Amino acid sequence: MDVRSLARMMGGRLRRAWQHGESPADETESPGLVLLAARTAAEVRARQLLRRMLSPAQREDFELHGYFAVQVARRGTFWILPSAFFNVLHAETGNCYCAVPKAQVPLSDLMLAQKLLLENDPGSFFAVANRRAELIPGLVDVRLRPDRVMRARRSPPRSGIRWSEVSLMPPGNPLP
Amino acid sequence: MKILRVLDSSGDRVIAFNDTEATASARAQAQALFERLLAAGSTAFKVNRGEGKPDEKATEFSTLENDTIVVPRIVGG
Repeated sequence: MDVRSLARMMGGRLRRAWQHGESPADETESPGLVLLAARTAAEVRARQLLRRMLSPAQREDFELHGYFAVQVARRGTFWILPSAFFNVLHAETGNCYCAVPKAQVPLSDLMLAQKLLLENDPGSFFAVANRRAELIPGLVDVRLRPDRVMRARRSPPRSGIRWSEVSLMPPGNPLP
Repeated sequence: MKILRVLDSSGDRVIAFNDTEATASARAQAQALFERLLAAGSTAFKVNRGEGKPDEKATEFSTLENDTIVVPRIVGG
């Protein structure tokens, strides 16, 4: 079975699981499929818990866009994006922060952990989080920043290269 | 009934206990787990507190309310 077929099948199962609360796989299938189904079931469970824990405004954002905002005391608004790395975006500066549970957890659990920490114990989060600049704040409207970051991450790497990026200096030291 | 949810690879593990004498054993097990997790760097939060109360970090087992979520230790990614 190729990856595309597997993804299509699991996508269908995931959709049914979300709609009807049924198990994404049975135990008679191949170990790889059972493992994938277990991860899918874990993500479904984690997503249900996350939705219960979000405020109405956060839930609306999450359902519409897949991300939501949290207010952090004395630091402002942060967006929690559906990504496993550098997914906490500071609305004001455009910096992204990365602090994740050491134990492996589904993505929705990761987002829930970050929400709870940022809203109730931000010092613990920022004490360990790594930071990188993700976009230039002045060039992108605040409300569009999460979408811009997500779109940039989804876009494939450029295959071409501009002439202006090519150095005309030959490799090595050409000077005697 | 009080609920302790520990986030893990399965989504979350649920431990239920209450304060009655009949379930003293279950409560003791929950307390031991809670203290072990916090000692290992996890953080606990009281959630769904009702009456508009905000979520709150919990450090003492005796102060837990109806619903608690335990977040595993976080590290910089």
